[in-house]
Amino acid sequence: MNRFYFFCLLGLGLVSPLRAEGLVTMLSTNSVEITSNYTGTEISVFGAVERDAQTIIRRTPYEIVVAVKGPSAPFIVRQKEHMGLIWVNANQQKFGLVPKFYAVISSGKFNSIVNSEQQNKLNLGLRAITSRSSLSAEEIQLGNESFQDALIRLRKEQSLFKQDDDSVIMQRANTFRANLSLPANAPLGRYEIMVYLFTGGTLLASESSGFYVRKIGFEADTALLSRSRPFVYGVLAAAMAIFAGWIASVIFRRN
Amino acid sequence: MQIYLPIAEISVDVFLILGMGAAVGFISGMFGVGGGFLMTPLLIFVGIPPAVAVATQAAQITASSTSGAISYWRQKALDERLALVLSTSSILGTIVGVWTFNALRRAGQLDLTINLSYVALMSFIGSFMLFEALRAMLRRRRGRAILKRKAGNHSWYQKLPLRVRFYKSQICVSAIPLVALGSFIGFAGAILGIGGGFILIPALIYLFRVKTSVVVGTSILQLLFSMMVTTILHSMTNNSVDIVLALLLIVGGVFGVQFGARVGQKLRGEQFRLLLALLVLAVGLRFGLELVLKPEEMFSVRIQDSIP
Repeated sequence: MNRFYFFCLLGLGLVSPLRAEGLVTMLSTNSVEITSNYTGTEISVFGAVERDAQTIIRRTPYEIVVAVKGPSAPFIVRQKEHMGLIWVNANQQKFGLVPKFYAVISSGKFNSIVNSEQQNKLNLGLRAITSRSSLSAEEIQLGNESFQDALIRLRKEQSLFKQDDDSVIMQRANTFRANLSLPANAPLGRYEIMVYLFTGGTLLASESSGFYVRKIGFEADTALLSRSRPFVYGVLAAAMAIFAGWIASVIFRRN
Repeated sequence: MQIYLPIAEISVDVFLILGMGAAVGFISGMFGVGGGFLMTPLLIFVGIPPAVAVATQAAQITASSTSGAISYWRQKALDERLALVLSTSSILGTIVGVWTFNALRRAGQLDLTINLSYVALMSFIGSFMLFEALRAMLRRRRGRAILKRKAGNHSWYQKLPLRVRFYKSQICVSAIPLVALGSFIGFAGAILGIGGGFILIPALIYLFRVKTSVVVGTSILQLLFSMMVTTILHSMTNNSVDIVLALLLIVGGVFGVQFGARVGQKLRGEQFRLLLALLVLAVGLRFGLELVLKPEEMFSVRIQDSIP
């Protein structure tokens, strides 16, 4: 759509023909459907850098950064501390809205493609998305590791945060491909994919798209029933349990 | 083989869950305890969210106690009158317990409360039972007869008004302490995510002197009633009963429970009590160590929208 408007404007002579690059991206799927045998999936992001005869010649190579952001929620990180004999959760820090899934995939080293100032401005990268902690005064920092580091480390261990350097494959001159592996524990909801084109530390273009992760069939019906008719669901679960227990005792009696 | 759990929203190995169900079911059938105090930590360990683990287990215990109760019923080794009194009062306790649970969760530090209660409850009951069982075994070894209880030799709480006679249990006690016991078990069960068998069995044996042969069956029947109610209450308050996970645990559990019940019937009274005491102590010790030892991971992350 943006391209369409661009060409319209170009035709009207409102835009200088000496233009910067554009980005075109495409996803291998728009929707990840979860059924009983779901164990995670792979999504490919394809893209091309658009340039024509008028585009300025760059001395530095193109760099691509792909950021995948899942649905967000407030987070609390707690730290244990020795109190008398036992270890208890003593300090905690609240984080405002943090994505429940986040992956940043880049063609080179992420931190050398995007400097920290740009990361904060674009809200791009694991540091930036976890930096906006809540305003509450509960953030007492003790110990060697900050709460932010702990949050990033723990989410990485669950494969819910990722930073894959050197993982966007530049095919031929101006086309690229990035593979995103979505783990089995990836949260449900809308995912936003932002693709950024950088060169020599400058942002040239960006393009956004998205996909959904959702349950279908039996899994969706079950989850829906448990929320819309919790009493019916509970009675069904209890009835199923009693029935199964009775069946078992019948089977064993025959032996 | 992996399967996706619709409520827990993760995928798990089918055979791992079946195996866990069978192992806990075996212990459950042998001792007449629900096994909740063993299953909760196992489920959390494989990545099931704690709320789903606790709630789903209620459904699983309902199933395993159904087949357990039928098996004891056939052997006429249960007192349905006593079970009815206990479970009616435990339902009251469960309702108050679920309410307290949600209030505690809002206040924070619920995990610590649960851990401390486990340690206190289990080390107290476990060591008391261990002491009793060892004393009984020692007596038997010395060839001395085990002291038979005398008719009419009652403690003060058994002599309170509203006395009821339970023929199968061979007791005649006031209903007041029984209702108190039942309510306490329902309350503790809702807060700790357990059926309360490991509290009920020693209480029936030591406090009420119920005939040992009907204790386990009665406890299982009581479990069946209270866990059925707990399943429905958990579904209604936090939508966290996972029917697929429950079914897997049930299939594993019912087999384990049948074999466990057969082994349990062959054990002598003191051996039975000794083994149950050691099991309860071991779990208590595990929770105690978790509190005292320096944790490997000092930080924990919690997503706030997972709280209903």
